[in-house]
Amino acid sequence: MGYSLVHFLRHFPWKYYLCGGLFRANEPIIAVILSPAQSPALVTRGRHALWYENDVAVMPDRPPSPESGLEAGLCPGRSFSARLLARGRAKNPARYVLLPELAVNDFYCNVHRVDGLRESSTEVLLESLQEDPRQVFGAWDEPRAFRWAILSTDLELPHGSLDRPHSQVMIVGLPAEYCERVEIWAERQKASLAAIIPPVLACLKWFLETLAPVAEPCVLMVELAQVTVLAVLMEGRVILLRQYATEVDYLFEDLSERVREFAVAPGRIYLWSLGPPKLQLPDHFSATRVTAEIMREASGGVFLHRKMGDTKTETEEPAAYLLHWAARHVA
Amino acid sequence: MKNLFVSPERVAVQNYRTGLPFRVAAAIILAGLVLQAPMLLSSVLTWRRYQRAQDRREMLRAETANFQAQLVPLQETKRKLQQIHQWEPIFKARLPVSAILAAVEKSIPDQAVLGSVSIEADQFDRVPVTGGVYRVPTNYRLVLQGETRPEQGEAVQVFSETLLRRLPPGSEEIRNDRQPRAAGNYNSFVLQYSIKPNGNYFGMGVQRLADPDPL
Repeated sequence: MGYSLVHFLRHFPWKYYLCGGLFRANEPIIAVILSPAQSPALVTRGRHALWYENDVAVMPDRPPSPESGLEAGLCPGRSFSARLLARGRAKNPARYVLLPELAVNDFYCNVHRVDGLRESSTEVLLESLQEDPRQVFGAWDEPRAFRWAILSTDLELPHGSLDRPHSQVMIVGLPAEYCERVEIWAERQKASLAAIIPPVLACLKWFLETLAPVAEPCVLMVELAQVTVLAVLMEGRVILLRQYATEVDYLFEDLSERVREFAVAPGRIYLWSLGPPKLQLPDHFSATRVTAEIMREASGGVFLHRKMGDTKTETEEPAAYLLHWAARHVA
Repeated sequence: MKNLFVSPERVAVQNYRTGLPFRVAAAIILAGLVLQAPMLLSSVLTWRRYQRAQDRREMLRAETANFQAQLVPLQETKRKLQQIHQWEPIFKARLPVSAILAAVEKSIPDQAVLGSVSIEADQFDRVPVTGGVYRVPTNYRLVLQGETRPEQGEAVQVFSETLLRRLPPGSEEIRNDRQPRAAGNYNSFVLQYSIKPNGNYFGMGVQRLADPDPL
């Protein structure tokens, strides 16, 4: 996006500035996981968690989920943002970090070797993807338009040439229609949108930053409501990523194959369930489950948030730690 | 992963809200607008003052036109008045000869006898009026010749002083000659005066009209 004076003046946020936004230091951040099973939300300001809501799926005017159709217009009464911020005793406007869980067909995420790509820079690669993904993947039969992003294998946003610093890159894509729906919803909430991060990427990034062993290869399996993701990590980078819908048997076969291929040591397989854990790995895998205790240790302390009556409460849910990390990391 | 999957347009608009350079630019713009307020107010007041002056000017112009229209029938009268005014120096330079004679008659003592009285005009000015040019005298010369007994010579002096007091202000005695007459017992005298016609003839008994002509 090229900034220009004309564009700035045309979109000059008069109302925001005149309502005190000109001198506002930090806006409250609302991070929400949108999952068919459970949609927890966290309100933070700076490093402090103000409010944790277990499930916002029942709240009116909630953020659009990928499986829901076009949302209706304005809901009567207070907006979703106003309700959550009021519970956290924070004021409008908020910044949103949305972590929508997407089905396999709605989320493209794969690791590509740079030497297998024709494009020499991230910008050109993005242009090719936006024009026609078949220029990059060869086989792409999805008729819907997607929004694309290029990430390095340590899940950072790269810029410039792809030649040397990145031997592999991750290409991720979401349906453009869903992203537009989220943007319209955020506009309606008079809020800003910090990022739309699929939970898999958030989990991988958190894992890379905190738990992943630096020297040894490891496997992280993220269990979501609709999807299970298998990622192989080595030297702080993601080198392989697979998504599975429901084929648990095939998942175990694939896991066994990857463990052999990358010589993953016993105990270096991690299983992370964002919702209620359903997946049970066979014992011979010696998997370590990423629990709230592990996350608490990795996060450096107990996660406290305010509850009714101004009392501080600790939560046992891994989603709360992930949301807190996402709010701090992204916003 | 900031701004991941957020459209560039949306990111730009959000940056306008929170980005420091844009906030600084917005602060400058808003401060500039605030500073414009007195200027705008001044402009509005000046414009309103200008409008009022314009209205006043229009009103005066209409009034002037109205007066001009009212003056049209008076033009003929004005012209006649100007013609009459042209006659003013002529009328002003007139001298009431009968009043002069009356003054002489009242002033002459019993001991003196007048032989001749002459009044002549001189020092003429040219005054143009409608119909031609008039020669208007600016001075009159009064010459009195008479006789008196030799032993009553002071009577001439008394006569001269009395007459001079009655003549219009500014009048002067030019000549006062007294000579014995060779053939008789009388002395002759000649008195000459210069009289300026200045319109003030009240000393000679001329009275102001009770109701002057309004024209």
